[in-house]
Amino acid sequence: MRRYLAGRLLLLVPVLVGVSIVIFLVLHLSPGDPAEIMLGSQATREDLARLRADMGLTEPLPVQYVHWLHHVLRGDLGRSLWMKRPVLPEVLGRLRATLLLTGTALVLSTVGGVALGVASARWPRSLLDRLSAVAALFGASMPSFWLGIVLMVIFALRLGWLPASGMFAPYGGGGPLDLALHLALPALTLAAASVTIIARLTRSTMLETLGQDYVRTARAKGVGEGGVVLRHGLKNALIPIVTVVGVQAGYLLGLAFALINLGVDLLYAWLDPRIRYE
Amino acid sequence: MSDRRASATAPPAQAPRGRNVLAVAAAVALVAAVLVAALAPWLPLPDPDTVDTPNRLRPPLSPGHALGTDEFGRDLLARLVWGARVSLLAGVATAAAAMVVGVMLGVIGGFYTGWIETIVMRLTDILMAFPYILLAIAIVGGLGPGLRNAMIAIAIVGFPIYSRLVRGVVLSLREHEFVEAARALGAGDAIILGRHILPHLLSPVIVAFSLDVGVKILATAGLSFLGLGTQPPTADWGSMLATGRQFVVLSPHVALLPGLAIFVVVLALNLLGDAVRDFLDPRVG
Amino acid sequence: MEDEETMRTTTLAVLTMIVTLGAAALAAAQPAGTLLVGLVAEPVNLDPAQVTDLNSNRVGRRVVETLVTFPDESTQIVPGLAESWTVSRDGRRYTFKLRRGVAFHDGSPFNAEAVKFSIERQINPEHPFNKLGKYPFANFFFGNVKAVEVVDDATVEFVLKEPRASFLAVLTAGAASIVSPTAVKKLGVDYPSQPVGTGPFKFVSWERGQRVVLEKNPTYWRSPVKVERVVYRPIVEDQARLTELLTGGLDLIVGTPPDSVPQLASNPKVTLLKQVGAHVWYLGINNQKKPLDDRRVRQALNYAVNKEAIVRDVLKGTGSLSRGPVLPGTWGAETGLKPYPYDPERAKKLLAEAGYPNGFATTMWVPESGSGMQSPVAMATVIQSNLKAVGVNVALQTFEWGAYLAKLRTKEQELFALSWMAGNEDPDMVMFPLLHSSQWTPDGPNRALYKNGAFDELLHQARLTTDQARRAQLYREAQRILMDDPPWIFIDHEIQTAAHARRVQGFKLHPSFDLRVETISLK
Repeated sequence: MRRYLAGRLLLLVPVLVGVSIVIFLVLHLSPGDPAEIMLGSQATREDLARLRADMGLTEPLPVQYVHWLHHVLRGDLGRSLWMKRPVLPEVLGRLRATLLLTGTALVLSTVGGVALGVASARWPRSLLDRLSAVAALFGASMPSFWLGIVLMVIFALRLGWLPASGMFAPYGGGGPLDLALHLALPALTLAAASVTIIARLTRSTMLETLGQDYVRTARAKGVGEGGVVLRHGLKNALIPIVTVVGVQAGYLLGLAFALINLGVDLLYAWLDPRIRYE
Repeated sequence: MSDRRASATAPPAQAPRGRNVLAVAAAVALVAAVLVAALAPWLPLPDPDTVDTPNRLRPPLSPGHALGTDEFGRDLLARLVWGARVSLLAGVATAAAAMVVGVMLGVIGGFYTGWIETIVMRLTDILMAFPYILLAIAIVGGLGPGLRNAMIAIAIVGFPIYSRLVRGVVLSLREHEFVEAARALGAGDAIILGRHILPHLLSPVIVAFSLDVGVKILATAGLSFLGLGTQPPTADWGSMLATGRQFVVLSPHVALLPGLAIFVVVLALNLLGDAVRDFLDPRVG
Repeated sequence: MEDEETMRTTTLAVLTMIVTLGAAALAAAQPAGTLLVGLVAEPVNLDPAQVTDLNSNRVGRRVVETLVTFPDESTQIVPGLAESWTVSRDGRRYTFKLRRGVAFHDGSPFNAEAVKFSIERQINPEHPFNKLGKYPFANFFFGNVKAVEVVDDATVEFVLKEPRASFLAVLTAGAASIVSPTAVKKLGVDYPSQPVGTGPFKFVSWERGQRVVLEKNPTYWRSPVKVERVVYRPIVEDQARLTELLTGGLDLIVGTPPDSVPQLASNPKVTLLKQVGAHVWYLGINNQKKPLDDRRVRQALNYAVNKEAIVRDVLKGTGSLSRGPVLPGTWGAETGLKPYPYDPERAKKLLAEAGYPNGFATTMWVPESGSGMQSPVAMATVIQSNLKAVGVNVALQTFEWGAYLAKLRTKEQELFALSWMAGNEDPDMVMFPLLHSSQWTPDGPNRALYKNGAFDELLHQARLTTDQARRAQLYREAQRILMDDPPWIFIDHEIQTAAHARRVQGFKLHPSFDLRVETISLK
């Protein structure tokens, strides 16, 4: 296990290099020209040429890449184009809010989704199960930007219970209560889509494991229904759930992905001791 | 040999008749949607692109506009029908392509250890490290704009989810007794994969696929917004839903109707997926 | 849906509890003297010389000021940091007497050196502070400036390469703002995120993604500022900004989406303001490409588009019909012209005369958004539909803004949507760059590749004289030429909208799109 971990961590290096190369290609291939955006519609061709040269955009792509890598290896992520401020603090400054929101959403969706999924698997084809199926599909066909606006109109505009935007009250706010109030709507919105996916996956995997021999054996040995459902059903169902939660977390956190995937793989081994990594 | 089919008689009970009715209804709905989309040019509908701004944002059941009009006064029913052509294709084809590639890579990554697994799964890591839409934009940027390229991009960006999902399940199955037993009996990789592993993948993959179709329809709309997919005035459900959000307060039907259309397709696919799974694997309820 | 409902109910129960507890916190969100302003996006940079977008300028221009400026209701040039000025007979020397006793917020004195520093850092590549930023207007506004000379502490002289009668109007632009040289030297690359000027408000703080805070300059030279503090909050989502205004999280919003205008107009909690702005939105035509090079075809296109419907139904009254590049009401605007009427029959006839009785096929490029672009895709969709009705089949292609500007330099455009608001207060500053043949893209902003000899000559003559009456006469004639030989499909001039809470008093929108919150007092 320790060797596996070391190997995976070592493999992070080529993964990160791969990621960085793809980022470079992405930026190069994406439509949109930073010089045009920064100088606006009255800019002359010389203005643009000068700015591109200043920004080092006239050099061949591999050269630009090597320059960038060189800086990164010394811990310098460079400076933003607009403000010429160091990028790293700018990113870290925003990371706190991002982590808080996505983390809350992730907890909400995992707890809610697993609970719903377990209940649906315990009582398949019950009213609860049916309704949760419909809700799941509804969630999957309704984009979060839309749900977000609807929730905002209801809870902020009509009822006036919650703020519509921001992280703290614009002036004088700042306590944990203030933060929680501002977090409620966006976190619920973000969580809504993944709650449904997690619930459906939990249900289908649990139903499958509940039908397996060893579960029947456990039942036959007189293990209580709750014990069967949770100990045997849920623990086995957790593998796809962990994957999906990992995927969601990855979307929420972007670059931390490689690390999260590693964590997920380690969790697999814990959940199902038969999985071994050499 | 503890083959899974040996437990076919186990509880929970067999799928009831209601289930089949639902599946048939879902199939009918899907076939109807495909037919309507295919026959759009011959249906007695107003032109979906004709702008009539004085009659904008009419509610459903207005005279001459059964489902009302959008922000340009265009007939929403006509736009939904024509939009089905783009959205059904974009949603189902991209999700299916992503699924096929993803499942294949996931099975390979889970079943074979060593360098194959390493390469496949680290590649997946790299792809997943990016915001979905950014990567799709870059791919379309390379291929050139247009619906077909947008679909290719979305399929590429979408497969890692399936491979992660599948690999997790395969990792666990690989060590199960029935796999070991089969191997002891001399079964080759192909038989183990086909008979013992793939059937177990059906249920999570089908759930993921049916939910994914909706996501893909919306992703296509996201690219269209940036000028990389379909172009106005071409109707597609995702774009209709996305522009409709501006009118959520005053004219909610503009966004609700395409949302409902996506919902029905996703629901039907899901029900049908359940039926297919029941058919292939009678044990699971 | 039950499960989501259950979850929401539970969550709501918890939230209701929190809300009850937190009600006091929310109620305290409106401190006396603090004005909360909603922005459509986060400012990119607070040094007006470094940005091209209105949103950043609206904040940045509270901190810094220009030598000459506009009064609160018009675009007639009046003294700002300069008390008075003279122009040499040959139109090449502009001499400014500076206001004495004015200090920058950091305590350093405002003087001729500061003026020289503020302009030269932009135009002189050897200037020690030239590399700290990029100055998008350096060429466009100051390319004609040969030197900025300090005559004495309170006198500064601009020497031009060629006479340019619109130079005073240039000096009203954000890019001509006077910055504290002490602050720029001290802060270096950090200056644009903590600007220092002479303006009505001092910079306090900027939390990324959250807010920019300014506080009043107690010793402001012009008039006392009545609010203690301004907090700018970037809120990108239209409906969220609107909701914040209606629920007390904001006092003032600008750039309200057209479709919310009726909603706001009828709401007793807010006041809706409208003001036509120095702006023009046009559908450019490539004047060099067949069949668009035919004057009759371009006239036909103008007759074919139903501008009234666009302004009424798509823009919900947030635009006024355009009859050319110059805003009616500006000095030099030709008032005798009428906008092209909507007349599809006439359009068809003109097309037939030009040899296209069955119309033709063409392409239209549109950015999905962009500064001053109003609702580009929606407007283009209507135009496309109108053109189809007269037989002109248009394929629409949308682009991201940066990619769009780059595409327009290829000269491959046929029809394209664009707007302009850099300096409409002087007819030269809109007509010359957009339509003079020396300004053809990719070197200049004439992306329609328009060339009309008589028009070129009139504009050239008008640059050489400083006699405003004579200039106005030349510009009026130039506008008549444009009406007869249209370079674009003329569409509209934006009517800006803003909405504010009842407690906001004394606010007016400015035709230059500036957001002068210093005129506000809070009830």
